[in-house]
Amino acid sequence: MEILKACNLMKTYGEDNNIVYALKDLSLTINKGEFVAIVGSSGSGKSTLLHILGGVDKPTSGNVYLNEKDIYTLNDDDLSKLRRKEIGLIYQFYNLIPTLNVRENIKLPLLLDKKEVDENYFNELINLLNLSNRLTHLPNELSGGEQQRVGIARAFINHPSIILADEPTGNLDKANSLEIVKLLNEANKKYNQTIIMVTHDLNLAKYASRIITISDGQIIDDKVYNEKSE
Amino acid sequence: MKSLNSLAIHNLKNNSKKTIPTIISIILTSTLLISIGLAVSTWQKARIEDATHFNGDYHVMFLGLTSTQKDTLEKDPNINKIDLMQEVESIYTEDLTINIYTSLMDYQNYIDLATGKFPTNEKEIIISSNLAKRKNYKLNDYINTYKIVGIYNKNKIISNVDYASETAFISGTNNNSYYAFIHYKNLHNIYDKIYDTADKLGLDYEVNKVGRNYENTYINSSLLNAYGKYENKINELQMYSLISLILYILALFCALAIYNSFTISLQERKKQISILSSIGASKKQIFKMLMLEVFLLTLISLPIALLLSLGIVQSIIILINNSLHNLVNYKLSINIVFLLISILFIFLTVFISSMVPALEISGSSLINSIKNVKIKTKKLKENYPFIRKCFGSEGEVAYKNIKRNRRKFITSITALTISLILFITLSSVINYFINATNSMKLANDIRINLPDKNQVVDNEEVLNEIRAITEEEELVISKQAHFFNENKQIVQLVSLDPFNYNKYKRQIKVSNDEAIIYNVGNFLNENDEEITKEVIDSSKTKSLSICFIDYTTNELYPCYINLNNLYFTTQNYLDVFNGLTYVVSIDTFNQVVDNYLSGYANNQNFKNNYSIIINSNRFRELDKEINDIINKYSHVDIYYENNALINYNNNHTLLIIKLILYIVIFLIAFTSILNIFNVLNTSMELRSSEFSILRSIGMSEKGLKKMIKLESLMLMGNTLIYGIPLSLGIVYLIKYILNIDVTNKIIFKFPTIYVIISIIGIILIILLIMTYSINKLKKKNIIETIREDGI
Ligand SMILES: Nc1ncnc2c1ncn2[C@@H]1O[C@H](COP(=O)(O)OP(=O)(O)O)[C@@H](O)[C@H]1O
Ligand SMILES: [Mg+2]
Repeated sequence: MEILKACNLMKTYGEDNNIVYALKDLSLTINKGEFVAIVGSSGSGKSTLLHILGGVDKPTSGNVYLNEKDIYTLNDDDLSKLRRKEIGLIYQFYNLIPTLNVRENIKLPLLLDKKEVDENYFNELINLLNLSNRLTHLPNELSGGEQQRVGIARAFINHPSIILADEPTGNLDKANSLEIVKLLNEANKKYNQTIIMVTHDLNLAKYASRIITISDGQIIDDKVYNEKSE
Repeated sequence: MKSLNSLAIHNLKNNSKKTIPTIISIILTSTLLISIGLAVSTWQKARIEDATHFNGDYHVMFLGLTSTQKDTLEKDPNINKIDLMQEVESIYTEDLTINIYTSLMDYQNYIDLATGKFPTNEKEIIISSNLAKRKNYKLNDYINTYKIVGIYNKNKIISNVDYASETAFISGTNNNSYYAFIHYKNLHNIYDKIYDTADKLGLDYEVNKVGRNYENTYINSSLLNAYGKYENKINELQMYSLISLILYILALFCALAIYNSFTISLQERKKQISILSSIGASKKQIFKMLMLEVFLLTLISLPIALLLSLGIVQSIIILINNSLHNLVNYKLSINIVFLLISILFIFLTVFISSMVPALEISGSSLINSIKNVKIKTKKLKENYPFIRKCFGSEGEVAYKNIKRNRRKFITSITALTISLILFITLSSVINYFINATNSMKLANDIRINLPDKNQVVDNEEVLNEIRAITEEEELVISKQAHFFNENKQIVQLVSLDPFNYNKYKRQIKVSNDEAIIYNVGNFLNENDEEITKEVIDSSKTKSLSICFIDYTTNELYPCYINLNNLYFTTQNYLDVFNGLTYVVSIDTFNQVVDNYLSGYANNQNFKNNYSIIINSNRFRELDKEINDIINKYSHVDIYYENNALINYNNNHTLLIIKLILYIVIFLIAFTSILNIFNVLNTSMELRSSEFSILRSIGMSEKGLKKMIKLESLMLMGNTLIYGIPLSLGIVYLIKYILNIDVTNKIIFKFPTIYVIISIIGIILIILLIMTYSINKLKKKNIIETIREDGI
């Protein structure tokens, strides 16, 4: 089942002589339950693509359909609603709210949505992410790996249609990186959660079920692996 | 280190745009501080010159000293200079006494010469211009055996206390007692030194309210006060604590402005600084580099500030001088000590206020540890239903944010509160001065007195001249004499000229030939406020009585006037009367003077003394015309006072002073607004990436607005809750200090207008900033804002 579809995405920065084409007529379809890794060299347009798919940046032209809704035709209220209900974003620099503790950071999207927390799911998540004894800590009292796990929990809490992660391990050491990707992989299987992850580490990309390679704003390779190697 | 220093200079050159806010705030605050220094030194110099002009430049004068006492003085180690003077003799003429003094001292310091020269021996004399006028003396005339060699305007040695005596000076010495004018070596503990000298001279003293009152001693306190030396320690304490309080508030004000602008300029260069540290510059090095930058900025700003303040103070001085015509003549005084203190003060303020942001950005471990501790793992309730109801879930986020991040919040509140306090305090104090100038009102008329002391000219002749120039004006000619009633209250017996007398009678509806009693007096109530009330009980007083007091026996000599038709009124006639006044016809007046007062005083004098009051809008033209008459009858002793002209000049000056004060209030308000704006803007700017994260996880614009609204409300509320009581406290404190040991107590008025203005101001500014920063966030791409901070 098709969950996300991008058609003819163009993204340019600057004007006239200085114009940079970050995305060049890029199209792509993601099915439910896929764990997609986007790889490519630095500056190839991975982040730009991810942000456009996640509704936080606007394409210069082209459309993005999430569950058959063209997200860039929505007004701010509806787009915000979509962001908090349908999309979970994970950043390289965690981007937690420094004044909220772990529990509050994770529950923030629910709070914004005025939804009650499903305590079972919450407990399940924090057990999975091994955060149960960190719940009352503030972000600056956590290690990088822990902070990223909080970021992941926050992205998952609303049962979004899709999780977008931009180099979630870019700031972590090898062991922590592996752990994070394994967690994403586990969640993908357990909840049939659709995940798109940008990385430039091919070792980590191996955990994905599909690897899309981007170069110069265009897809140059797109492979689906049915059986993932451990 | 060297290379980092050159980097600092390089930075300044290339980032000149980014340092502009810092330079501007340093220039503005320096201008403010230097201007204050210049104004204070100018004012102090004017006070000193004034005191010297009117009283002389000596510190204390002793009179009636024997030559032994004189020798004691010469041995006093504290004394720098002694000017000695002696009495010579008194020459009695029919209507006045000329007291002659002699000295070897340099008269130049004590006497303002009008014409001629100072006496050089005991046969040459210098007299006052007043005496020359009254007796028609000219240079080279003789008074007894003394040859007049000079005429002076004013002497600072012997103040003329009474009309019947004049002072003149010769040169030389004799065997009489001494007057000694003392200059001490320095003014340190000057009053103790004076007491010490007086004790050595064996003088007696009484303790009074301010200190000791020695016999035969005259302390030149207006000069000493001008130097900031008060006999009363409380006065001195009062002055210095007021000065320090104002300096303290000013310093805070300036520090805040510099802190803000420096923080903003550093915020923009965060990236550059973190790159520097990533390539190995130590925190200390970065800190030193930033401080060097500030130092250079201050160096650049100072000359500009100096020129600006010179311009400002000079123009204010010109403004005041012009408006005061010839009353005062301020001159710009550049006191090096004051200037150095101001500059030192500026450097201190700049350094302290830029140190905090510099430490913060250079990532000093000290500041970091403070920072980390301050975001508290405070146990908060999971839910705040009330806040959620009012402000939604976004409000709850904002509330938690404020609760946990108290440091930032408190910083903002402190900055806002200080601005608020500054505004309310300074404007209330300035407002007090404006009110004080308002209450300085004088009667608005021209008064001329024609005394009759064996005059050569008939007063009628002078009166006719005055009548001629005032044909169109309101002119009241009255005769006045002062007596007492049975209760020893002063009574004015007045006869108005027939025209005005009849007009007055018509005005208060009196038809018969009654005595009109203007029954109004000014008294102090229990709060020392002046009130107006009736002087005598009109229901009990049945006949008009006036008395004389024989001052030697203190006995009353009553003399009753045969008038039983008394008419009591509180209605003044053209503001002619002051206090209890018996208004009678001219016949009655003459009758009283002729029949009852013969034998007492020179009754002829009472009879022919005229008091003239003119009400006119032509006060300036009349001034010239009246002066012409006075000059024409220069041998007649005409007293003339043109209150209308004085009032006009005063009002003019007051207007300009008011204008300046209002400009100052405006500047303070403006700087306060700028400060508040900067504080809020910086705190919003610092949090823009946090806002963007919230947006990216699905907070709508509306939600963000709600969140910022709640934070703003909390800021506003807290600022007002702390700021207003604190400001009122400081205002009370200032009034208290000003009121210590002062007879004319300042009555505290609640600064309602300024409180209201500041409440409205704070609300408006916060609303403005809110919309401003929300709009700014709107324009920005979410992801770009997040990136800017993440690098
Ligand atoms: N704000 C921007 N302004 C100008 N150019 C940009 C901006 N953001 C990204 N780019 C350019 O777009 C291209 C793609 O960037 P990005 O998507 O961040 O690459 P990646 O994430 O693959 O490293 C790069 O060439 C980058 O220089
Ligand atoms: Mg990237």
